[in-house]
Amino acid sequence: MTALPPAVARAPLAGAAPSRRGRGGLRGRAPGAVAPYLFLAPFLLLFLAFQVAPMIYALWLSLFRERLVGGTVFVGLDNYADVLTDPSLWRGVGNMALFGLIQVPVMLGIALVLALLLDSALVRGRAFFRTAFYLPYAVPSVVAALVWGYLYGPVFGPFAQGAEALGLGAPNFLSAQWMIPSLANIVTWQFTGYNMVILFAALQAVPRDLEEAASLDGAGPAAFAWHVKVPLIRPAIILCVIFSIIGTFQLFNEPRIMASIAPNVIGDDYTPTLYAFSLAFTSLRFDLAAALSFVIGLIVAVVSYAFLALAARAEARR
Amino acid sequence: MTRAQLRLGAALAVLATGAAAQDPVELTMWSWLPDLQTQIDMFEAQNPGITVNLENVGQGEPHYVAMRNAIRAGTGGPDVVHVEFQLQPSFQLTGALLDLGPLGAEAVRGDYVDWSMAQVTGADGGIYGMPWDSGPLGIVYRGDLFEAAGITEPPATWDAFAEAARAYRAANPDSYITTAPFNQGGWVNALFWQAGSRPFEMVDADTIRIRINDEAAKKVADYWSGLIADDLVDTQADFTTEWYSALDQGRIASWITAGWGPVFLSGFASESAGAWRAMPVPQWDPANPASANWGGSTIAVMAGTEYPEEAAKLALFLSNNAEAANSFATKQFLFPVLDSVLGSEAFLNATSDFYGGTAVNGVFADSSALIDTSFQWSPFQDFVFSEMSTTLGAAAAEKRSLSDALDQVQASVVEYAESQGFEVVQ
Repeated sequence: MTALPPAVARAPLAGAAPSRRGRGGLRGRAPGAVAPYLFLAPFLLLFLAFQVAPMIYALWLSLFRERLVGGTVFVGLDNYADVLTDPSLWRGVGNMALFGLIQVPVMLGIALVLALLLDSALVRGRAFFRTAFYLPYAVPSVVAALVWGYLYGPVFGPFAQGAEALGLGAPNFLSAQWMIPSLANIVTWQFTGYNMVILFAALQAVPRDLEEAASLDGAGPAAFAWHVKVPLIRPAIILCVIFSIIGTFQLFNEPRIMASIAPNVIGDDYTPTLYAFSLAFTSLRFDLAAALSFVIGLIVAVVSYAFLALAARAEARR
Repeated sequence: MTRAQLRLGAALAVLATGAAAQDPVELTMWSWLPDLQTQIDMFEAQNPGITVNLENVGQGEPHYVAMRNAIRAGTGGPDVVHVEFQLQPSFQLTGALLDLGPLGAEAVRGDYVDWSMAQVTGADGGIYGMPWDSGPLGIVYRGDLFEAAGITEPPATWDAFAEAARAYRAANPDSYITTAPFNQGGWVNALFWQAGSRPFEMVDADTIRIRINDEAAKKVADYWSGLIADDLVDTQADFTTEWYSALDQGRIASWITAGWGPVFLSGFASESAGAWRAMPVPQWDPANPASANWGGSTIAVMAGTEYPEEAAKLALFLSNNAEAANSFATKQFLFPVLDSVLGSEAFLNATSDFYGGTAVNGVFADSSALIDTSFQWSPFQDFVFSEMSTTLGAAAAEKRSLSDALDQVQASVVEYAESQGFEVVQ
């Protein structure tokens, strides 16, 4: 991978490399200026081969329609029109929007509190807790979904059995009303630690002498955390929100596992990505699935951009 | 041995000596049937020039996804493949399967139960798969629980079954006589089929008549809507952990199942062993009894295979050879489609401790004889089952009208068929 001849490495970057013929070009510059491109080349080649090329192929697929009778025909943007007017897509988007509105603030709130706690002087065994909170992220999401599916079980699940032993009723966590909170719980459990680590790392960059100055001014640790630390790690918080938005709309593993445990609740259009999967592999509409994938990507981009614009405006107003 | 088998044996012997003189042939077979290697070994022993690589690429959906990917890519597929009955038209339509008629299947056409041969026969009369096993409808039930609830006679009609459900629920407020898993496309479809529903008919190669919500299907839908609304049956999904334990522990007292059900049940219900019995599925019209099929598979050969003759030989062996058929029936408990096995005393009288010493095969064998040949699958059955599962399953769970949900399924399948280029007649 690293032993690429310079000619090959340079070819895809021809547009980006500075001209050698113009004045002030590479002539006279050290040959080390080519080195960064050589270092990037392995990643770029893999990126082009496994990310960009499939996307181009999907774009190509989305412009045609394959029919059982009549073969493949060019349909232009018809597939996109079909997808955008499909109620199944908007149902999925609605489910995910509801999911995101509940789950993201709760998860980031908990992650922020945990990060601040770990960063403060109040806590003992910091390294242990840092690892312990992060551990759920190391569990593969399929395994996590399977185990939580068992935990939620209305007959065998420990919650249900415990509630029954105490004489209380437990809600059916796998019913239609509870499915979104149940899924939100699994995702929160998995990703709180991940976000906490990002926020904790950002907190390390806050200068220590600020804390002393604040205490001299009479601010307690809580006030200091809220008024000084949190605004200073704003970029990290925004980053976490963007990741969470993207992750929310890409939610696939957990609903798919739950679909085999509670098939009456999770239909094949419960989330947009589940719908794309079933379009491709059950309905065999690869063209529609390709169009849908681009539309989902567009929705995620729009929502992320909207959030960034909001955040920037709030920043400007301060 | 019958004349047909002698003829086939002679033909195979000629082929075999021919094959032995060439290079050894390697075939790949994709199937998820457990312990299939046993019968493959039998085949290899009788055909020294042929080696078979058996691969399990998944059960059901993942297997078909892999098949379709291989067909699309043109390479990477097997020679011989396990295809369930309901997917036969879909693969036949795309020309993915080889016509086995001239390769020996035509000679043994009469060995199989009529409806099974009808479903592997294409519009051009070609045989695109060898029937392997089937799933005629029947009910397995907890004899002790039924007796305790006062149900002494197996309900002969669906009305009687509704009465039995009422009596059972009255006597057992914590359990149900059965669950109606409307998320299970094959189960729902079989019940519609039994009532006389014929949802699909290929008028010609490009025209399809779709009547999923015909009168018979609506009759069944209304019947179950009534039972669900009165809380006489459960609606929980089947093949989940909760369902397995509910059957074993008596929270569900019976299972409307298919020929492969009895052995499957005995595999997981250990606590209730000995208490189970089998009875025929109730009838809508006792004067004209009918049954249907849920599940069951064929063995097909891919059209792109390098070794059509050897692959056909393997398919024919596994589905038609007497020794293999008996082995399948006794070892993997496949419900047979060969008339010779279905009618054999040994098969019909086989008893089981799990079923309290009774012989259950006879119930399903009788049912198999009542399955008519006019039922047709659509060429896009995965989609149909998925639509049925999502729409009917949700309607059943939320106690909404199944009949209305059926209209929705009809509409979306018609839309799908039209988008696939078919001319749709309703």
